[in-house]
Amino acid sequence: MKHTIKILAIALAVVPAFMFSGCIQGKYDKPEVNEVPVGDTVTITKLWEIYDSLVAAGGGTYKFTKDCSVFGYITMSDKIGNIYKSAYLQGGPDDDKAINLHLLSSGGIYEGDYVRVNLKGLVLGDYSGMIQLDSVHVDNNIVKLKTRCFLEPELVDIENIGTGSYVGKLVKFRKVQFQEQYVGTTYADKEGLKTVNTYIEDEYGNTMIVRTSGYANFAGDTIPAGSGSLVAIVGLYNTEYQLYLRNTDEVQLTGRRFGDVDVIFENNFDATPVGDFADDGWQNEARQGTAKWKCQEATEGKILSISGNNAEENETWLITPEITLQANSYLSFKTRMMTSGNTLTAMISTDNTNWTPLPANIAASSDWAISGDISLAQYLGNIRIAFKFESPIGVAGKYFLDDVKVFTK
Amino acid sequence: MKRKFLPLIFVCLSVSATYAQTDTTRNNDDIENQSVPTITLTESELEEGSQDNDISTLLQSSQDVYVNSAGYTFGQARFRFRGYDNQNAEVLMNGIYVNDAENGRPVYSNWGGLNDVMRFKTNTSALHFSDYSFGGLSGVTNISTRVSEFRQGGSVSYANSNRSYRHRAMAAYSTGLMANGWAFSAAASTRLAQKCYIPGTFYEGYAYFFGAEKKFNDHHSLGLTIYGSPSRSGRSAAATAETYELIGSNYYNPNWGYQNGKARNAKVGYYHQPRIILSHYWDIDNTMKLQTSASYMFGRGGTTALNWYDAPDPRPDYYRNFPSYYEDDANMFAQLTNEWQNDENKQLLDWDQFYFANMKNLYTVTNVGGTGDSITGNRAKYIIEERRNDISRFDFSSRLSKIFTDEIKMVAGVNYMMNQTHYFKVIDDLLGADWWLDVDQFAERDFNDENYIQSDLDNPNQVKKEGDLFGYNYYANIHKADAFAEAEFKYSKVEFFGALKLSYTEYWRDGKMRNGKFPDGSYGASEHQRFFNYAVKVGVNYKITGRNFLLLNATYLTRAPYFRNAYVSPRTRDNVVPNLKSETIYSADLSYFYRSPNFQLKITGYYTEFRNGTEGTSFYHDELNTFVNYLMTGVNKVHYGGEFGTEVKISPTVTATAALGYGRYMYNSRPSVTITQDNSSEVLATDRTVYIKNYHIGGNPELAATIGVKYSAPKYWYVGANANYFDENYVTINPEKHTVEALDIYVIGDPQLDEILGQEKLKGGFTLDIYGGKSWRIQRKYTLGFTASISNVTNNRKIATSGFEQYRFDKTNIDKFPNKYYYMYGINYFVNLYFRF
Repeated sequence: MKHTIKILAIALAVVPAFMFSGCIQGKYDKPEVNEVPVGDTVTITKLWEIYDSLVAAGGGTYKFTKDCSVFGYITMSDKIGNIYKSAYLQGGPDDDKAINLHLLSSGGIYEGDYVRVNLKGLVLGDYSGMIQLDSVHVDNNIVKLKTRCFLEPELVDIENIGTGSYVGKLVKFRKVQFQEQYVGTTYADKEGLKTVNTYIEDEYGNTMIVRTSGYANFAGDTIPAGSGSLVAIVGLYNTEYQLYLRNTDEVQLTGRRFGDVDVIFENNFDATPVGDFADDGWQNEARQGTAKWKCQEATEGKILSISGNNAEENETWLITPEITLQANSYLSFKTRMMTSGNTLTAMISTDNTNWTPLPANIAASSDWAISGDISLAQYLGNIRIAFKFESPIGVAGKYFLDDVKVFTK
Repeated sequence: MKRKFLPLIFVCLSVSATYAQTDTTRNNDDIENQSVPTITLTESELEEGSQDNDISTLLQSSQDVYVNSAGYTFGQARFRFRGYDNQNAEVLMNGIYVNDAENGRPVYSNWGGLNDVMRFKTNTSALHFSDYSFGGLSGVTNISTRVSEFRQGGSVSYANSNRSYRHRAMAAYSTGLMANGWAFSAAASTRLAQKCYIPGTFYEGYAYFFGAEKKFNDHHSLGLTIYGSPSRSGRSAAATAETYELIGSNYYNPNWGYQNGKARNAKVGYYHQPRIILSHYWDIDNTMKLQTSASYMFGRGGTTALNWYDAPDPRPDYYRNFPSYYEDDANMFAQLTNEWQNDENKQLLDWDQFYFANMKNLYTVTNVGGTGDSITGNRAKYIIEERRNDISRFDFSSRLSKIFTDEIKMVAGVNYMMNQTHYFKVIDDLLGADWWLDVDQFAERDFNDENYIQSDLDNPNQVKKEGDLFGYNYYANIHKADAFAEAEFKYSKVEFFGALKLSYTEYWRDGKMRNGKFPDGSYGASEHQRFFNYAVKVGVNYKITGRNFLLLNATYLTRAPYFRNAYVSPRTRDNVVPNLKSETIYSADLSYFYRSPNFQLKITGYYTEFRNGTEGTSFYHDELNTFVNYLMTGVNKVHYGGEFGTEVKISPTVTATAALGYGRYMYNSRPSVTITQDNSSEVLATDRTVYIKNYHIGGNPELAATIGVKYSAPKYWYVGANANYFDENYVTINPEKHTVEALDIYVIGDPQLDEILGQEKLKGGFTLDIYGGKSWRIQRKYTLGFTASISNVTNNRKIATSGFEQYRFDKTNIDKFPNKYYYMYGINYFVNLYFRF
């Protein structure tokens, strides 16, 4: 009996073991959490005004000492790694400006956040030409009001960027492509974590830098070849504008590259034997006189050449093989007039009988002349192209012809 | 029974068993325990419940002076017996192997606070013959919970200390074997501290024990044991020299801060893994005994930690928070120096800021859980997660011992273990946020792929609340079976023994989440890894005279790699280390032992080699710019040294002791390393050679010495002191610094090379411990007494107990990630008041 009591007493003492008393490490109360004060509202446009006056005064910075707030949309965050400790804030339609936020630490705000930034303690200034709010603490300065408010990018052309009114903004280029030398390379050096500048161009030859960090999570992705639309933030580094991509989904370069053609028919005569021209399917016919097209060596490879005989009148037809056109086909070739006083006419026929002259640019000097892309849009089906050479008596006319090509763009 | 306990100590110490190589004298009473200083320090450190604690108490209460010192006095300096990892110390309970299944280390905290009922230990040190099992390199301890052998009576005690806990209360009562054949025992205890020695740490531990035994007849008894030791404790961490200098103390803890003005630790261990043992004791005849036990252990293990998403590193000791990071910026340097020195908050976690950030982090998750729905709320930037390792383990052990003649004894047995550890994380505290999104932010940074970042590809974009499982989820399954046989021969001039063990180990990982980074290697049961191992051990004791002995022991064994070292990154995938194979170990020791009634002396030399070890770790690789798994194979180590212990009985009341251990624990090969990216299966380097041969393994002092004197008065009191010296402690090295790749920017003769390749030796030093005790008999029935010990009386706070080179290493700025250190406690005390009835 006495044993039992003692054993039971100890058994009772065990009870607390199963319910941690909490006297040592209990639950912790949630601390009081302070609101981030609002104060006066300041627009991004206003920030630009201050910035412009700073620049006009030769530089310097402006530090906010009172609670005041700027509202805007986060158009780019450092989440994907293309920028670091940084974000872009853009106003709505009635505050159509943008600014770079330089953060004290990376992370914590995201594309599409509609935020209020308390400016107290922040410094407005210039970072290598870019307007910037410095020392932004994501938790202490920023209040997220809404998520997934994605601003539509503003449609622009490369030539508009230079006006300066797009700095920091989210823009979309409708029709651009990466320059040929960057196609197939990566956006940046993912292995070496190096930033890389690449260039895009438009149809008019305007170009612009696309700058990508080696830390971007798409740094190792391959640059596409095509043309199309591209969305980016417009950055400024000293006097040079540069674009920062947000992701590769916004690089929609799936169209045909500018300058790229689908060749339907082509003969540059490089494979043709020197001498009288008699390639398969071609007709080389002296309807007046005896002059015929001959193939000869030239510095740019082999070309066709014809020389009139001044003792006779010459009319020689060079007719291509039958070519099956596609919709919106074009013709191009190049010519060189070695002796004046004769003519060369480009013509088209759907039946090899009735010929219609084409509006080609034919050489009028001894410089090579490009015919231009001559639209054959009104023709379909099988056609032939003819080059009619005419040289009157007393003139030893001479023409060169090369690179005859029918294609679609 | 044990009334004359003081004289008994002398009996034990001087008799010291007929043959000195085995210390198989059953430990008599905890009075004796308590009379020896510093045990509580080691005990309490162990009770932090950490899996990585590494202090051996295996050898406590041994009768060998040196072994005793290594277990008690040297414990404060993290001295390890022969420099061995604790996995070489085998611990049994009623014959059941109780070391951790995955890393082989004994987990003393499982029975922490049950000192009264766990004190019946049989110790065998090093390679000597054990009656209980083949044993480990540092020996084997069997704890008996056979309650019919417990002394009838009870005790209550209260202890006060400033070490790992402040208060301890214990109570125990045992019936002894009663006339009806039953015996019962029960014990309970609590250990508490609001604040322990290290700032920010706390301790809350309880323990319970219940034992019952029924003796059916002279041959058969059946015993049942149930015990558990639930505890919660706040952890500390090592820090750099810069940190200690800035705050002016060698006891800094980066793991805590104030929440609403109340101290809160982010790293809290919470363990409760009770065990039930059923034992059958069968005395077949006078010469033959069969003891069979089956055991089941289960319960939770876990340690909390801060986790954060897309937010700055919140740890106060993050390297960019220190002045040294701003060497080139005098303003920042001065500002941070000032803050560290004068603003306590700079040194601590900022809990209030975590709540502030969490309660305003508005975020929308689309396609939650793959359902297509969206949720908008405050996404957690900071959370406390608990990394769980819940155990379910079954053990079986049966051991037959037979005494053939006075000269010949044999022991044989079989053991079986089936362990399943469930690894997962749960959200412990959202710190004011609404939920945590279960994606991998490191993968998010590196890869432009929505699937890649998912912890659970089959249930993507999951929103987790408090108590929810997240991150990873897998089982470690380990089966192990072994059989051993030993024979011991004792003749008048010579004694010798031989032992053999065969074992089979099988383990596999069973993943319960399909990780987005490893969709093919993370879900379901992995390939099974199987190992067959053997071990042999022999020993001889040559008795030159009745007082002079020469002892030689040797072992050769192979050991399966531990589960913990076998998998590259078990949280995310089931890849194993390339060329995974068993380790080979050789060890031998030779001792000379002299014993007379007033004097004993033992000198030992030992040599041990570990070959073909496998070691793995994960860390942020600065040059490769990613989190990597770093796997070394072909790691050879050599441990050799000498041990000396002596005891002189100067008078019937005064005893002097001295002990010295001096060894070399070195790497002995150039391991080959494979580095894989943690985020992907990409192999970043293969067969990279690590030039660490002849470097110290480090982490523990290689030299420890003590001289002690003890006065034991006839009137039930005693007092003693020990002067100790510790030295030759080296930092553990970062192998990656010792590769051609890490040095390729340096030319021969560059002074920085020495700095990179040199191995820092930590400062050693002297300490002084004093202890004493007294007891009173009351009414010839009860005993009231106290024991007290003060360790490091001179308050030497400059002895680093261990240090390590950080794995993170920047070869272009070698001081960026400096070494970190732990320091020995300054003056500390332990007082225990007890009452026995």
